[in-house]
Amino acid sequence: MILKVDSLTKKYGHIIAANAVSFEVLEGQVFGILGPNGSGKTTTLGMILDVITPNGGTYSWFDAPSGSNQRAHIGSLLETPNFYPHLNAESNLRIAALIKNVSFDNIDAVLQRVNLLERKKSAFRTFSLGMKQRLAIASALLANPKVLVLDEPTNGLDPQGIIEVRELIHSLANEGKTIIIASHLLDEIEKVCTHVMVMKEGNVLASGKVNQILATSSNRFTNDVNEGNTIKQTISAESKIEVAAEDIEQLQNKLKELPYIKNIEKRKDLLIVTVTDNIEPSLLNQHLFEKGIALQHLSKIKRTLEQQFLEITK
Amino acid sequence: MITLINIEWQKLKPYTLFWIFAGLYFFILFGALYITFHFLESNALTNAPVSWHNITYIAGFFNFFLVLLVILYSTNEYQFNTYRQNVIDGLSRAQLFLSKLYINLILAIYAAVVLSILFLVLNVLSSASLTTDVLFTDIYFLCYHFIKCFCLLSIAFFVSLVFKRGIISILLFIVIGLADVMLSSVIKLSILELLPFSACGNLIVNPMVAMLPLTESTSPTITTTLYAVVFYCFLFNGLSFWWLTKKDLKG
Repeated sequence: MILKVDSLTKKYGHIIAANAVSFEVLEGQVFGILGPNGSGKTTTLGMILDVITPNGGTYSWFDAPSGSNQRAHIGSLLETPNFYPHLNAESNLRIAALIKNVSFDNIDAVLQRVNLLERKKSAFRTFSLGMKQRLAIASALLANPKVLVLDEPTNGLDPQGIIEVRELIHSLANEGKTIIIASHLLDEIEKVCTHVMVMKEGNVLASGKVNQILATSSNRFTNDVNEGNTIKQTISAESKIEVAAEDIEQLQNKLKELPYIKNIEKRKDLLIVTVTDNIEPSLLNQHLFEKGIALQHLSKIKRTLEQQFLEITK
Repeated sequence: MITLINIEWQKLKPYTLFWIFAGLYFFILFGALYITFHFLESNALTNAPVSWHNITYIAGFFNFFLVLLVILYSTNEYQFNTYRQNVIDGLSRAQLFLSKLYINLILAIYAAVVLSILFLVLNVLSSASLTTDVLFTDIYFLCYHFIKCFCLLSIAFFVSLVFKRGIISILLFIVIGLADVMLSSVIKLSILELLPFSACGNLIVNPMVAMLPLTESTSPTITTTLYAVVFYCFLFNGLSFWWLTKKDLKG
């Protein structure tokens, strides 16, 4: 087992930042921790990385007793990238290399991997946020760790950077690395994780395989009820689709004729329809076309995390 | 141990402030000592060799440079969140403490080495001959200087851990120091003379005062004072260890 967490609790005064959080991560999993800001994700990661002292509970890495130093074999990125601003990229990674007891020879390779090799002599303070984040990932990869802990790895990155980081995570997962990733972006967790734990206000709401917890377009209701996993609540199979056409009135009338339309909300120049059974937009488009309506706009609305939580906590 | 010192060296080497303070300490101390002894030479103590007592007493005022360095260096780690990062990268919290303890020891050794060099230079500059007598009489003051310096750096380090911000830590170090010294000089209670800053000060008393004929004194003996200072070294390092191993590492 890579990581076993048992009832970790952290209190800040009256606020319980993490309330008896327990989970297990097995080798090869991409384990997501999903929750809005302030839900206890970073607190939980901080505790398992020994920078936050828990009020209760235990954890163990690699089945080793706690206290033995395993973090050198874990590549971590917690919250913001933390480096010495007056040192250049290479010098900063030298410090990490000394701490992790690995050769300085690895530095160029990891800088290359995150596309920072040509900036290795630049002071950290001159870096853009995206570059800082990439340097943090380079640092995490330095010891070629079996396990990566990433806290909001795409935070503050531009779209190009987000894609790059996600591709990097995919390729690392394909190499067989175990990855623990915290994010408030449902989309991100859905795209990269195999397993997910959902947190809110310090509590674990649900955990299990991603397709069981977060599936937005499957008939998982029929499949998963008896699988005996730790899902506490399930989510209804409704989803929302944005549509627009030349004649909104006509579109609205035709939509009402369709059996799976549960609700129609009118916005400025488009309609938001709630469909049951996770009807795909393509099917909706096809049905409307058969009724003689050519859509100008068709887009599936990803459930926001808050909505997802409402569903889970209902 | 070598790895931990190497890690700190990697951090300090490109740190401009480190070189400025280490350099300033040397040159200002040299300047101050030179002026003092030149002045003394032209008055009462013509051609007298510079004594360990005199030189360590004056050097005591300049420990503050090293205190500033330790506070800024340590609070920077909070500000950059790098205490946290070092632990995330794999240092244990005890190693985190040890790496800073070594730096404090090295700075105290540096202070002693600088003073030894200046002692030699000043004695060469004065026309006194360099006999073994001159060199080794009262050389235990050099040890006092080292322990006193290390004790002050240990206090400074602990203050920096508690208050986390450079300016606040420096101000509080000064305020606590002044309060300590004022308390022990206003209230004539011998136990108060063993407060941390007072004890450090009393370890190397003003040579002028020391030359006065002894009056009835209730002050703690030098041995007691020395024990107290050594005790504070252990106390403040113990507190720093406790702080670094038990508290959250957050800036």
